[in-house]
Amino acid sequence: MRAVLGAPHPLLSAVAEPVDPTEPTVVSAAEDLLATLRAERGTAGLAAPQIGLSLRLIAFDAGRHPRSRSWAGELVLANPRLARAAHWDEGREGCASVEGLTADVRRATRITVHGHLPGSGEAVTIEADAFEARCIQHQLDHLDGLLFLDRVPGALSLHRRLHSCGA
Amino acid sequence: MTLLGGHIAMMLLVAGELDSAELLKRLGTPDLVISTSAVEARRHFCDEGGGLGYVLTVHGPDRPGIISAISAVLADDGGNITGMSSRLSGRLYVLIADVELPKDVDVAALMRRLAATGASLDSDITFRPVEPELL
Repeated sequence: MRAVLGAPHPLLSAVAEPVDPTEPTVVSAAEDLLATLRAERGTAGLAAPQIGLSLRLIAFDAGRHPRSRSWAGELVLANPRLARAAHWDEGREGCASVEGLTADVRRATRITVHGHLPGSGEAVTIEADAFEARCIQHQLDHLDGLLFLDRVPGALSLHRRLHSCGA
Repeated sequence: MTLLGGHIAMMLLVAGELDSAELLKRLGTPDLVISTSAVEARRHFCDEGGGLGYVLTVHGPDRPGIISAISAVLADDGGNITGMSSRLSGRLYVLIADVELPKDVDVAALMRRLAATGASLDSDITFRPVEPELL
């Protein structure tokens, strides 16, 4: 388990590096990411840059959120890639790396994501909707050095966080 | 409306027959600091906007001069900030601004200047077209 970095931090603005999902150091990083996610109350997803690793790894568990419909389970994906995005809608987001702020962000509510499982390297495809789709897209942005703040649609869409609802 | 240093601050646009001095007289209370002024509503708020709508995000470590530096870059190209929201959360300063640009602005060149200014402030800047409302 590692500490979650808070913005501003250069790693949260950097593009993360592709990984070999079978590499032991990558498997260890995936375990760290999952352990950190499990310890973060109110957070449904994390990306490796948030724990100080500039690697293309994301972890999520949308079952932690009441607005979830699809649920792929508790999962870590290496080199995740968005293959399809449809049905865009606005929703409120927060982030474990951005304390105290939320914003309304427009994202696809139905997505297809390809990636690999750390360890075996098995290729997997995730079909996600609703909150899980939003959570995965939020983590994918972290791999490209973007925060949800970079997708706020206007000045009136930034809010102080009143309760924990992190993506 | 927002909270500034524990005080409520708000700005209201109203239409009516009273001049600003009379309005101030009627609003006066000992607990509130109030100022009033007349605006040329027809010119500023009723004309159709003819420019290009963009949204600017700036986030980075808090430091003096961020708004000044960014607004100077926008003003050099005739950009008009029509809405703005800023928040400080720990060391993180966040600014979101609605910006209207003249139609003939070289947006790519403006984005490069904004990025350079952001880098000089250790801040990240994104500048993107307003997404159309889908009703």
